[in-house]
Amino acid sequence: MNSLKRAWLSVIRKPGKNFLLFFIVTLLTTLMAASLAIRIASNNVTAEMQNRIGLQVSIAPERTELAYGMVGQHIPYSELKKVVSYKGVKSFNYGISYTFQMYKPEQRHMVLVEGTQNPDITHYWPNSKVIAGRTFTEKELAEGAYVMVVSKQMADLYNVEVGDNFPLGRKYSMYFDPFEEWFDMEVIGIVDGPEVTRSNLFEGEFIDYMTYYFSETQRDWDRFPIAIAPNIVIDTQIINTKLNYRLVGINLRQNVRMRIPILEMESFEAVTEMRKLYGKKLPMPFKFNFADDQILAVLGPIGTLNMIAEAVMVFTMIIAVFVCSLIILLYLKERRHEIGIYFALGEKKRNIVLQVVMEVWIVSVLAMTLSVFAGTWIAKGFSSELIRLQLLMAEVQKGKDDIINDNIPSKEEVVQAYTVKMSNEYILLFTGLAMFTVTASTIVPIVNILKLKPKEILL
Amino acid sequence: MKLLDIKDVFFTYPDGDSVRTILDHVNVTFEKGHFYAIVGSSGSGKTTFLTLIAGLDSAKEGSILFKDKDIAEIGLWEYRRNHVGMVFQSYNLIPYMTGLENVLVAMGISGKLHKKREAYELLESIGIAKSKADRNVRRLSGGEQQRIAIARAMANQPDIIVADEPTGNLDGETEDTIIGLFKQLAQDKDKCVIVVTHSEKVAKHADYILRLHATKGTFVIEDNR
Repeated sequence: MNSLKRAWLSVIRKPGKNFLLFFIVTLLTTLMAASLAIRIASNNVTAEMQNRIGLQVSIAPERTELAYGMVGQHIPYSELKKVVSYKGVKSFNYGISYTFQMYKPEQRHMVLVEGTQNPDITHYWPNSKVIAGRTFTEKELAEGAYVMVVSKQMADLYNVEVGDNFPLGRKYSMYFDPFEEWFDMEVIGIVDGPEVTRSNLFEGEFIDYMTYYFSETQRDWDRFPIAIAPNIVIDTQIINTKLNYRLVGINLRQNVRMRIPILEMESFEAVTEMRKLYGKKLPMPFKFNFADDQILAVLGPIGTLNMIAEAVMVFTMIIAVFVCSLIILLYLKERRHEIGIYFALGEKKRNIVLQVVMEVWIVSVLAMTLSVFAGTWIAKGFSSELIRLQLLMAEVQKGKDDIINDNIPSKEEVVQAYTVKMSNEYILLFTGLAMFTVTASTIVPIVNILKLKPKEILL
Repeated sequence: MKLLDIKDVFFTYPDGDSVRTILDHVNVTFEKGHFYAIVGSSGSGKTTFLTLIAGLDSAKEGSILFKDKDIAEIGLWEYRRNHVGMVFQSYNLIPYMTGLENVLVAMGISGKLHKKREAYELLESIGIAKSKADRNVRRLSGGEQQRIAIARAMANQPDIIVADEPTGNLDGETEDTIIGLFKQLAQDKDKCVIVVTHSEKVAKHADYILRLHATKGTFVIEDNR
């Protein structure tokens, strides 16, 4: 009969004596399981919210500054270059929703321009691929060459091929001071994948002088995605901001939005690093708008709950080691004779240790099986109510007018995303932590056993 | 045949500020196929001597040779595992196991015998039937428990069996049976049986009686054959 069989017999033949250990381990590991379930749920919701907002940093003028008519300023390209050259910047993008008119005025199609620094087109058009030509070279991106990659739909509509020069323009017709600009772009690639979106925004929120002009002829607009090297957007912004200056107070938000550079960061560490490096170095009135600020605002209550859960878990683990050690010590004190017999029979010490550890493990595994369910159940009931209460009490600030703010989840979305469930990650982590705790609790009793002398026990 | 050679063994206990000599340069030889009884007054050092030859403790001076090799060299744990079987006054069986399981534990530790059949045969040979072997040891009489303890001592097929007051908790009739078993082990199985006892009745049956002098810490050996 080996030590494992002895351990098994010891557990099943003495259920009464093992019950105390079972009860205590169940109680404490249930607390651990509940804390862990809360922690995992909190981390999951945080990760989900982070993914939703993305690792974005935008450079936007302060809202208050805009209100005082300082919109005419834009961030100098030299300053921007310093920022985007930081290694933590994965890519950056200027041209969100930047609209240009096509060459055929009678059709008046619009294009959605992605001014980009990233040669990988899937970065902004997921699941798309180049079907003719190529994407940008590093040199083109760096120099801001007048080249563009167009969507297949646009290429088909205008019968454009790779190598063609295609004029891309923007034309404003105001009550006064009409304005028009055109760029002669070379088509370097055609991409299949990006979707053409239909918009009738001129009937809706985007009401300004331009609306007046466009709405005379057509209300629904197809937006054909194209990508261009970034400097062109910067150039046009200079002109555009002059225009915006006159539009202040009419549709500030929409126009400002056009020229906010969005930086996609490699990681949250990079965001933190950027905050340190460039946080206060941008010229007025431009400021960084960090995504993690927004995340913190929304996830503050989740973070508090996470901290409480972590504290409870660590505290429980310490208590569990202490209490279980005492119980096992008492338990082994009653079995001194048995251990003395093993010594007298010449049993190896490691086998005696293995037997004790196995006995504790068998009882603990039974207790943990119960705890994993009980912990989840408690965590579900406890945390969802607490999180709801905390979110109700928290006020989420959305002070800045920025695209990042548009992505911030609501309290209801956070509550909805917060789900305690019995995932593999939870079961594995709980098992690891609980087993570590109960194994740690056998150390003192085992050291105590190994100090025993068979002569003193048996004779 | 010389099996165990006790050479110049010296052992002391601390006694307050002084030191009390228990065994003063003892020299004894134990042979196979003989039954030895160690007698002496309380505190004379009988049990101490037993712990030394059982490998439960080490002498302060001198050596104990098993088949001409110092047991310290063999290693006390190894020596106990493979060469000595022990029987105690209070049986020292594992209380939550059956008689069979108690024997199987010892077999498992020594690794010499493994099978249930072998354990049953061993128990049968000392008068424990299968029906009793399968009972929890707490449900057996003192005599039966001591038989199981003897079977367990035999489980590693040792050359030496040491027993500390093995009949101390038994009635007269059972005592006779257990003495008979020890004699049988020595004569039929060629074991070296060394029993520490207060009982003159037990000593009377031994081949040799070793009388320990409490004050001198030495043995006087009587040939009882």
